[in-house]
Amino acid sequence: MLPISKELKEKLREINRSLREVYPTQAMNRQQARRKLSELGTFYAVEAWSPEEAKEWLGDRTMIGVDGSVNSTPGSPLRTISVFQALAKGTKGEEKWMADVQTPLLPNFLGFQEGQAAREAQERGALLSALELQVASYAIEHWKPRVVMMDGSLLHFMIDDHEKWNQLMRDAERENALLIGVAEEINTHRLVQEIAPEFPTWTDRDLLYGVLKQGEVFIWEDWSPAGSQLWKVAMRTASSPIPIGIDGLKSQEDAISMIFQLVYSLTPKQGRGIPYWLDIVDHQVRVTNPLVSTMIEEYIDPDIRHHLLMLKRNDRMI
Amino acid sequence: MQVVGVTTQQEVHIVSRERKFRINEILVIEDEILDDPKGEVVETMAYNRLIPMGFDRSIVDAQVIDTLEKMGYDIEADEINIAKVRLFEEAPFPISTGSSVRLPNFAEVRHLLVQTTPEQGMLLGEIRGTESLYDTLTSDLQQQVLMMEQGEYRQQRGVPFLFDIKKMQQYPHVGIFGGSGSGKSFGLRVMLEELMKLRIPTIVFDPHFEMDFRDTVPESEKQASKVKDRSVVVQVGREVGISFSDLSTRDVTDLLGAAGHLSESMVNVIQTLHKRRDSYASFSDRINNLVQALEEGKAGLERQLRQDELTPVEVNRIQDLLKLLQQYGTLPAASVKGIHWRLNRLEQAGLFQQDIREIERGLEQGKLVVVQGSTWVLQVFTTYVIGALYRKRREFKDAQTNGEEGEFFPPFVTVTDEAHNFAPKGFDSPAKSILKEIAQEGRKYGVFLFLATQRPTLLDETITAQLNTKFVFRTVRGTDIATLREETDLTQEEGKRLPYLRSGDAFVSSAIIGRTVFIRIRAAHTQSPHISNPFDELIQATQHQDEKVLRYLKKQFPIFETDFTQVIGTLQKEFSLSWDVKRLKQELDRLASDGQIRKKETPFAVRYDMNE
Ligand SMILES: Nc1ncnc2c1ncn2[C@@H]1O[C@H](COP(=O)(O)OP(=O)(O)OP(=O)(O)O)[C@@H](O)[C@H]1O
Ligand SMILES: [Mg+2]
Repeated sequence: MLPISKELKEKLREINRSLREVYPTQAMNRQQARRKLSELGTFYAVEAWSPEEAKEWLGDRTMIGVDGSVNSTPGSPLRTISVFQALAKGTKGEEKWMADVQTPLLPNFLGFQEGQAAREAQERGALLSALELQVASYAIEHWKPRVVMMDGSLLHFMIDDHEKWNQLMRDAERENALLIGVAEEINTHRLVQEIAPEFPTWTDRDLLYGVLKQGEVFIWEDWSPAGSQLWKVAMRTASSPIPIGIDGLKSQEDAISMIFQLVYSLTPKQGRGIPYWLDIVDHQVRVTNPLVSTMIEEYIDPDIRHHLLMLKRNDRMI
Repeated sequence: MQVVGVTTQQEVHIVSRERKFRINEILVIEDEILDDPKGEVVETMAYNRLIPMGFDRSIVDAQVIDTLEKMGYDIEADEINIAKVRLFEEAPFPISTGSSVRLPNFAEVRHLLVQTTPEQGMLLGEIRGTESLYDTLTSDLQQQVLMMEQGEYRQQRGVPFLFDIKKMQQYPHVGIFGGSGSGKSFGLRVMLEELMKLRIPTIVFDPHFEMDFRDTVPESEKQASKVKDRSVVVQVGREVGISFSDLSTRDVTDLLGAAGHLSESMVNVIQTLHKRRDSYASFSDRINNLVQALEEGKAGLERQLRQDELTPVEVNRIQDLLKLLQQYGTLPAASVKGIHWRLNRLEQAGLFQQDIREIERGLEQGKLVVVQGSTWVLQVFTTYVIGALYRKRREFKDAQTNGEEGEFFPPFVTVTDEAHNFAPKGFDSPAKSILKEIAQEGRKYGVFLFLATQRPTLLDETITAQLNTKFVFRTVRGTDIATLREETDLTQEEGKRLPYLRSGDAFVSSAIIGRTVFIRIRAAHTQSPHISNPFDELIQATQHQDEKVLRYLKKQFPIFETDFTQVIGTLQKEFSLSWDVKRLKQELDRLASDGQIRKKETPFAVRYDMNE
């Protein structure tokens, strides 16, 4: 038996009932959803490349994966050190790293005053995006890749740092490097608003759940906000029923079917649905808790460590 | 290369992306405060983040990996190498994490690896994991050994392993342990070659008739002079034996005991019948006569005496027998016969034909003396000869201590394979007491043991404890690994490696070196005389005979069945092949089916002929 109190059990049951109401199983079956979606956009079946075809497509150029990671020392938000790093990694062995460290214990922390927690979280995201955009630009300029794959949707990079995004977009177009974003989750609401407004709490992901066949793409012209100069699709790349989101530059729309093939070919069928190259980059760039503590121990003097960053939790007896 | 993770005063972990670590290599940790401590790699690991291990992560499609590789991704580049390094000396406080690590040059680590010179020490092989030091090796240590790996010769690539035999004065005796095929005999051969090089008097017992050093391998031609004419091979019963009159009653008892178990009453028979300075003849006559006397009995003998026509010689003889009977008639006849049988067995093995002069002479000349004989004969002889030589050496030294001028006898080394048969744990054997005495006291007199065995667990533990240097080859049996770990300073990691060692690789755990080194024994300069494979021998023998027979048949072709009798006659006469018609036909058919000759069958006759 789980060691939880009667009170907690009751609360959990209640939550379950509420979820059922908001997300009824029978509300919309898959055929129904599919029919409605096909009125709006198109379904498109993709065939994976063989390793040789992928090689031929890439030619003597390289493929870049870009990802970033941030982590902080545990404890009170005002007494932390946050570590940021981004990596652009090419299949031919190229690597470009950028890093930053921030702490509210010093003036000039992310450029704003203490206590603005909501903005702080946003700023942390923006700082990380900026690093990722910079390594991506660097990669395009120095290695002239055939394709640059960003972890996360391009739209969110655009929102986080408009200026650097524009720079990257120009770089990609100039050097003829295909720029795409791959998002594990589709958190937009535009589809739901369009065809299932009766479920206001749903995201587009809920609508697409299980609707796509493996290797299938759903394309809808108006999915991306007008003026974003981006296209956006959903694709089921693995056996999991949850689709991923892919977006790219309108200016590079010609190459869209090759992009689908590439993404599909590089995704393990049993995995979380995103290309394995991004997994590799993610793994390499991730700032883990042990990494944070080792770095802090190594580079920050013990007295500062104990006085300013004292990690109370570690002293707990049980 | 960099120190990572939690460190202790004794151990650190080191990672590298570029370099694969080698087991047992030495590394320098650049920690200024601790004065750049050095350590040895005791465990290596590599992992690749591309190949996930967690059980909740799915196995990545081989196809995806293949595609990434085709797109230029070098999976190995993402491999991370990790080494566990044990410091040679404990640090006063833990090493700083993040310290960088480098390979040493030879001068920095010479004192850890080399204690003597190739001229004065035993040059036994190469220290594993020292390849990176070869470039900075001083010239006196370069190109000292030739190695053999997977049947191929190769030049030295690391630091040579030199055993400082002079230090045996303080830390005596050597043990050689390892399972079947692990390289003990090979290693022993190399050690014996080095003892010859140093002209150290050595006696080795060789029940397998494999210790012959006259046949040098072509690759070692230059080294041949170091072993040439420095060994003598003797066989028990041919060149050497036991000089019976030197034996004490106790020796005789041990000896006969080795020929077959003695009952208490048999021991009593020996003690009663053996006289000091008895020759073999006098002792065996006494036994023979007593057996006869006991068989005939007092009455019988007296009856014989009363017969007419006895010559005076015969009278004398009968009276002697009667006297014997009177003296020893109470001894049980069965026991006397038992002794009689055992004595004959030793005699038949030729044990009493010679003495050990040849061995003594060899040792006095600084040679290696190989004593060959069947296992049981050697068991008997070893006990005797080691005892005799040890006594001789001891007497000389004792005389010297007392200021007397004794007859010089040199210090020497004795080498025994399958030592657990000579000094078994748990029960007594004739050889055990002398080996034990040498193990405990030999150092004082300059007498040293080299003992090899497959089964350390079965070797007398007092002796094992006295072996200050132990060569440990591949060992698979768990109990033996446990024994070895108890008796040496092998670590847990090293113990785990024992079952996987290659033939010829060994850990040397030695008080002389002060730590365990991992080595590979060098290629031997010489080879044992009977290394030919029995199956090759079979093929060769067949071919040889075929050639002979074919040569003869060629002159006789064509051969019809009617010629068989005549052919058989010649084969019998000239090649002593006693074939009958059936056998000749079988052999001809075989040659024909091998395509060596042609067989033609017509309705009228069968004809064998040459190939076109
Ligand atoms: N140092 C070495 N270099 C190259 N080859 C070796 C070496 N040592 C052993 N070998 C190979 O391994 C084989 C077996 O070795 P060896 O006969 O010495 O084993 P062993 O331990 O004496 O076995 P056993 O207990 O069965 O007598 C040798 O014939 C040889 O081919
Ligand atoms: Mg052997």
